[in-house]
Amino acid sequence: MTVRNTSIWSSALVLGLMLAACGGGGTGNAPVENTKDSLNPPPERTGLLNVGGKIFSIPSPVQTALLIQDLGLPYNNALPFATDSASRFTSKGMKALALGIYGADLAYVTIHKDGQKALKTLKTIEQLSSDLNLSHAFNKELLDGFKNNLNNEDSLLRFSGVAFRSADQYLKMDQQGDVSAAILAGGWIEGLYLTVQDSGKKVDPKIIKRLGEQGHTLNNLISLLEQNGNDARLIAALKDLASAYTAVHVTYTFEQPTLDAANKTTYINSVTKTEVAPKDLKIIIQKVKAIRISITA
Amino acid sequence: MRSIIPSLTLLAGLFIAGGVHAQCDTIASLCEKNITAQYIPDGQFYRALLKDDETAEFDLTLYGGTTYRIAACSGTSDGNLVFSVYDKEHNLLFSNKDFNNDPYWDLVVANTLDVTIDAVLDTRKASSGCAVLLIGFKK
Repeated sequence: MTVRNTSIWSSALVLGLMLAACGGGGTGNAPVENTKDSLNPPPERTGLLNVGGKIFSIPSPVQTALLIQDLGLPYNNALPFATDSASRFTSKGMKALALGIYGADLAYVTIHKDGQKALKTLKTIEQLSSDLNLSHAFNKELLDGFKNNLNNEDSLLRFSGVAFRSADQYLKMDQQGDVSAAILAGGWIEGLYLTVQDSGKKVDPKIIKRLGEQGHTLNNLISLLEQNGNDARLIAALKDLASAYTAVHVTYTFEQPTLDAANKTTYINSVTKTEVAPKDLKIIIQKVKAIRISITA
Repeated sequence: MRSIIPSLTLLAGLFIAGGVHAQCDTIASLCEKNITAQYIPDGQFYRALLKDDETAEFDLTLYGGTTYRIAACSGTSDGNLVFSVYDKEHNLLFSNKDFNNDPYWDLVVANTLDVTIDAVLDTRKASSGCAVLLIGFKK
C-alpha cells in the first residue's frame, strides 16, 4: 500500500514536472524572480533540450529570398505555391509543412514588391495558422500591419519574422515540436526550391555556394524531424538528399576574429570553401525539386 | 487523507508548470527587445531550462555576408546568462563572459560557417532558470 501511495505521489509530481517541461502554451506574464534559486525545486532538464542536449536552428527562408534578390534573378510569380491550394492539406503535419512553404513564399514575393501576392499569401497563412491554433501569431493586427506597410519591405519582413517566432514559441512551449519542425522544414525546402527553380544550364556560383552550404542545416533538419517523430517519408526523402551532399566538398580554415567592443560587434573572418561538381549539383537540384513536388502535388 | 496528498502534489506540480512557462514567456518578451528594428527575426524561438552549471547547446549555420544579432537572456535582468560561440573546430569566436555577460552581441560573418552556441547560467547570479536565445539578422 505504501509503495502504491508513493507511486501515486511520485506520478503526480513527475506529471507536474513534465508539464513544466513540456508545455501549456499561453503567453503568461507572471513576474519572475531574478535571484538565486528562482525555481524551487529546479525543473528537470529532460524534455527541454533536444537530442544530445542540442537545440537545432534552421536558417530563415528570408535569407534565401534575400540571396535571390542579391543575385538579381528575375521575379517569377508562378514559382510560389498557389495560394488557393491550401485546402488540399488536411493533416496537421501537412498543414504545418504548407505554412512553412507559404512563409518562404511570403518572403520571396515581399522582396520582389508584389504586394497583392503578398497579401494573398498572408491570408492563406492566416487560414493555415488558424487550423493549427496559431491565430494569436498571425492575427488581424498582423494583416493590418502588413497592409499599412506594403511599401516598406523591411517592416514586412520583420512583421513576418516576429509572427513566425511567436508561433514557434507557442508550439515549443505547448510541446508541439513536430508542428514546429514541419514548419521549418517547409520553409527550408521552399527556400531552396525558389533558389534553384530558375537555374538553367549555367548556375550562378553564389547559388552553387549557397546550395553547397546546406549540408549541415540539412543534417540538423533531419535530426529535428526524427526527434519529433515527423513524417517518415519526408525524413527518408531528406536523407536521400543528404546522401547527395556527401559529394560536396567543404574546407574550413579558422581565422582569428576581430573585435569591436565599442560597437558590441565581432567580425568572424574564418574562411569556408565549398566545391560541388556540376553533375553532383544537378542531382541535388533534382532532389530538391522532387521533394517540393512530393509535398505540393 | 491519502487521496488528498497525491492531488495536492499534482497541484504543486501544475503550479510549477505554470510558473516555468510564465517565466520563459516573460524572459522571451524582455529578450526580444534586444532584436531591434534593424534586425529581422529568424522566426525561431530557442529555450532551455538550466540548473547549476548545465549547458544548452545551440547548433546553427551562419551565412556569409550577413550581420547577425544574438540575444541571450535568463531572468528579468541582464547578465544572468553566459553565451559563447564556437566554430566546428571548437575555436572560440566570441563569449559575452568577457563583457559582463552582455545580453546581445553582433556577429559580422564574412564566410558561411557552422557554429555552436553554448549557454550557461552565471551561477553567481542564478542557480536555475529558463534560458532564451533569439537570433536576428540584418538585410
